[in-house]
Amino acid sequence: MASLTLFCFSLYAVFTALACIYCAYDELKQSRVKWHELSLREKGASLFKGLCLVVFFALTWPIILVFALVQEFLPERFLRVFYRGKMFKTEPEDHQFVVLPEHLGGVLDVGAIEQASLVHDPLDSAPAVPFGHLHIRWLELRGQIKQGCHLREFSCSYRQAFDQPWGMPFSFAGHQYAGLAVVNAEGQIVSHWVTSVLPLPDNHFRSSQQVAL
Amino acid sequence: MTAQFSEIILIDGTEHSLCTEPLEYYFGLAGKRPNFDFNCTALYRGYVGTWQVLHDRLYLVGIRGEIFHQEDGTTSQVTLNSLFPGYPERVFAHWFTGELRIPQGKLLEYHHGGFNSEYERDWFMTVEQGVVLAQRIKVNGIAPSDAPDGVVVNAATYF
Repeated sequence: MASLTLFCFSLYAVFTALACIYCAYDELKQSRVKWHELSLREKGASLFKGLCLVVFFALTWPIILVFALVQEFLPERFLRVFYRGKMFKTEPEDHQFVVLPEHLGGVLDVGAIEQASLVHDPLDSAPAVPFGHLHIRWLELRGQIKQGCHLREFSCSYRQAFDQPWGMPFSFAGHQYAGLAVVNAEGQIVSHWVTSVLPLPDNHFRSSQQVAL
Repeated sequence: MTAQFSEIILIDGTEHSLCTEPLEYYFGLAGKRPNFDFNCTALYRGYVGTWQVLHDRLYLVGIRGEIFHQEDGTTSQVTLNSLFPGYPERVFAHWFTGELRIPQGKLLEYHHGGFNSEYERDWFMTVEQGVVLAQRIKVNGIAPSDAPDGVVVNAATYF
């Protein structure tokens, strides 16, 4: 960061100096006369141009200096917040993933889902509860199933880069989403949980020989 | 986007590069992602996870990275226990269904974005709910003898 600021400042100074030299050279080239041959008015005009450049530099260099000081002395955490804000922009509302009625599948039984999603690991590296490490997420969804509501499965594919809800714009483009949705008596989708993201087939890699292990 | 540093995977005691991010799937399904700190454009995700295939199962066995605390601007080391309380040694990746891509051999064609560079071979493992079901090797070509070996990131900006 410091070297970048120094580079910008140096570049600015060099350009200003070059501009001054060019102006003086251009003045003499156009007039084709020596300095003592110029009239008082021409001398004044030439000096005024030079003065304007000096004033311009005098007025603008503090901006560069302020920029350099900010980069140098602003706590690193402020810069990190700034750069994070630039890189992980919040997605617009209309890019958020939503479950639509046409994505819905059959009605599911809560008990059957809990039985089917029990996680078992011989090394005890996951809790032996429905959805394992994601159990809390399941409890949250199950808590949304009020009187008259029912649980349905859903599935849909998303190919656009900004359709995923968790803000990593390069991770989940082109995936098949599937999960569970809580639907109320009026058929409205009250809540949903994506339980599976599967990559859609892509043709990124060129066709080549494949060997089964 | 800049080429990204890969994850690490241990298979039969040997360390390989893993060009898949199974932990991002977990964050996606959990609906929230820790605020990982990052200071390099070649590691946007902010961490490097170490994975292990043991008895045909995929486990997360380590993670290196820092969590950024927005409220006071400080950072703290991320550990398996901070992400998966009660599981400090090993976490079964039951949430992951998909293919693991483990590049092998020398660099064939460099692409300065994500994990898009091509290597001589790709070792794919088909995983369903954390269990390795099948494996295959895809041969992409033969690189020149002076080509670099292993996963390559040619340039990155640190800030």
